[in-house]
Amino acid sequence: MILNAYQISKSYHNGEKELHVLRNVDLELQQGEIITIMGQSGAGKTTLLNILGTLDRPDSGSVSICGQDISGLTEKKLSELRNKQLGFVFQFHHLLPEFTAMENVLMPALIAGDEQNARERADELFDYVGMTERRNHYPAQLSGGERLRAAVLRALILKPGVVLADEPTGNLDESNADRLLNLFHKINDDFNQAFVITTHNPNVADIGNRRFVLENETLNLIDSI
Amino acid sequence: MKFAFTIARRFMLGGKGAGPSQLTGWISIIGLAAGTFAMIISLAVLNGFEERVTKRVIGFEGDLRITTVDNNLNLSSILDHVLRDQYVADALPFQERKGLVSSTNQKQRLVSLKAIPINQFNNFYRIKIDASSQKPDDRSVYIGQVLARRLNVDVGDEINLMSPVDYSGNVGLPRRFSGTIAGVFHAEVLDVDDRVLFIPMSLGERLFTRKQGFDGIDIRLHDAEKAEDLKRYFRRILPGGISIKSWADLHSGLFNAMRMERLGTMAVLSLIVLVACFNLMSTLVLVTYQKIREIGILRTLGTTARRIQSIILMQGIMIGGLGAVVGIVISLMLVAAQNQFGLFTLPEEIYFIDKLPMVFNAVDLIAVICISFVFILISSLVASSRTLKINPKEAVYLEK
Repeated sequence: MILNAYQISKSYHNGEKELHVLRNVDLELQQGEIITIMGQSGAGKTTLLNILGTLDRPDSGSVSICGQDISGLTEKKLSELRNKQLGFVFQFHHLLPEFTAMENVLMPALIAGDEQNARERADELFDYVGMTERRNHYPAQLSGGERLRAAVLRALILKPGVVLADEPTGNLDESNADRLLNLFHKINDDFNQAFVITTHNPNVADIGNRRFVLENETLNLIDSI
Repeated sequence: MKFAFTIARRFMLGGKGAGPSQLTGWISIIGLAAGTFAMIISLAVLNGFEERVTKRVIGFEGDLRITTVDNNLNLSSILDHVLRDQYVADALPFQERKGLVSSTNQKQRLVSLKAIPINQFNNFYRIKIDASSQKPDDRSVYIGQVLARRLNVDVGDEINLMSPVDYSGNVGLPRRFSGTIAGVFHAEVLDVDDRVLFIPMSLGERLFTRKQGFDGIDIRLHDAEKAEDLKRYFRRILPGGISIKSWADLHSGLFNAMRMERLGTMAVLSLIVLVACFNLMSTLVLVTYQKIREIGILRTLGTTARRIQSIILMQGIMIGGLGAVVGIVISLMLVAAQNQFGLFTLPEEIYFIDKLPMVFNAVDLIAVICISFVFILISSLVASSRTLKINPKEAVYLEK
């Protein structure tokens, strides 16, 4: 099992008022599986993804990634886990504007201190998504679709256990959204890569092997293939 | 380190399109450059003057001076002893008292009358002098150029000398003798040209009746650099009741003042660097908030908070270092250019030199670098500590 979330609860406090976002959420993710989580804006999709991505801590429950329980990990160990085992794709590309597409893709490797070894894989990945000619362009010189594809490559560069995608198509037109979803499929097929994708778009949710909906603070399975 | 440097370089002054942080960044670079420039140039000028003063003061009145502590002690036997010593090149006895000098045009000045074997003046003292061609006699006096100008006298003119504390007979009037100016000297050290008048020993003996005998002995050594060691040596071998001082002791007040002046200058000019570092701090805080989303992304990708801090710290060192290096390089170039071409001139009649003296000192350079680096490091550390409070999940989703 790549990822296991058990009985996750999370609430926020606004003065004396307590706002429950997640209540006793369970989620398991196997190698090579795509899970999609649907939900309306404010349903808690991003909160769940942040907890799964170790950017936030649950009030109760536990999360283990690649067999490692994250609850007792130090900030340094959590950072290392994010770097090596987790890939992130956001709604906005979130590429660093001062770095070229290639440098952005290599950023996790630079953080890990393994930039040189990752360069060959980065070349292969750019070739894989047909962006070889664009790899030395800065984000401002790329189209919206290219930026998001570069962000996907950045998430894949260190062969993470799971890629967490938060509304990845939310900022793309239909054509680019389709291309991105096809890319996710292709990566899943070719690299046996596991994904957790949040979306409010049923078409996007269709690519999941298992589809969940997050509503009323709980995560419910809709169907599985 | 490579990671922090790479990111810091690209995020320099807030990265692409960063307006306010670039402006404040350049202001802090200019401020630091101005601070280090001012410190190095000011210290170089002080060094220049100190070196010239030291050069003139060293040995101008000999390397060691023996004076009596016990008024009954006769220095004649000590003079004989000193003259025979292997380390001594020459020795000159003297009497030095306060006196009045007046010219025929009734102008008067209070001076220090120094009675010496006048025919040894040129051999012993390293003082430039415009002297008459005649050999000095019992009436020959040497007057400083400033004093000569004040009294409006020149070589060959008569002047009157009085010792107010030495009386003639029972009348109670001060003793008074006249002398002929045999030379006008240019010591160009402190106020010697305005304050000291050299007179023959025979004239001194007649003028200073209240206390007979030498007041002291000026000693010139074969090796002036051993003055401090030989001071202790003479203290050991000569009888008690005397005081032995080196040229450095005689002018210790002056050298202490110069040292304090250097320290004061450095402390005051450090404030320029300090103010520039406040600016650097605000630049780094501004950069941190301009790049907060990028910082959030880097944290998401697995960068620890400490490494994020090191990026901002590195940027502070880069910005501050750039300013400090620019200031240091320009100041060193200016010092070199001044020494080569004499760009800045001085009125020679006031300063005795025609060009502003500048001397580079490696210790000063190290001190300036250390002061700047400490200020830069502290301000960068304070500013970069703000990054530790950034929550990555909030930073990533922050709308800028």
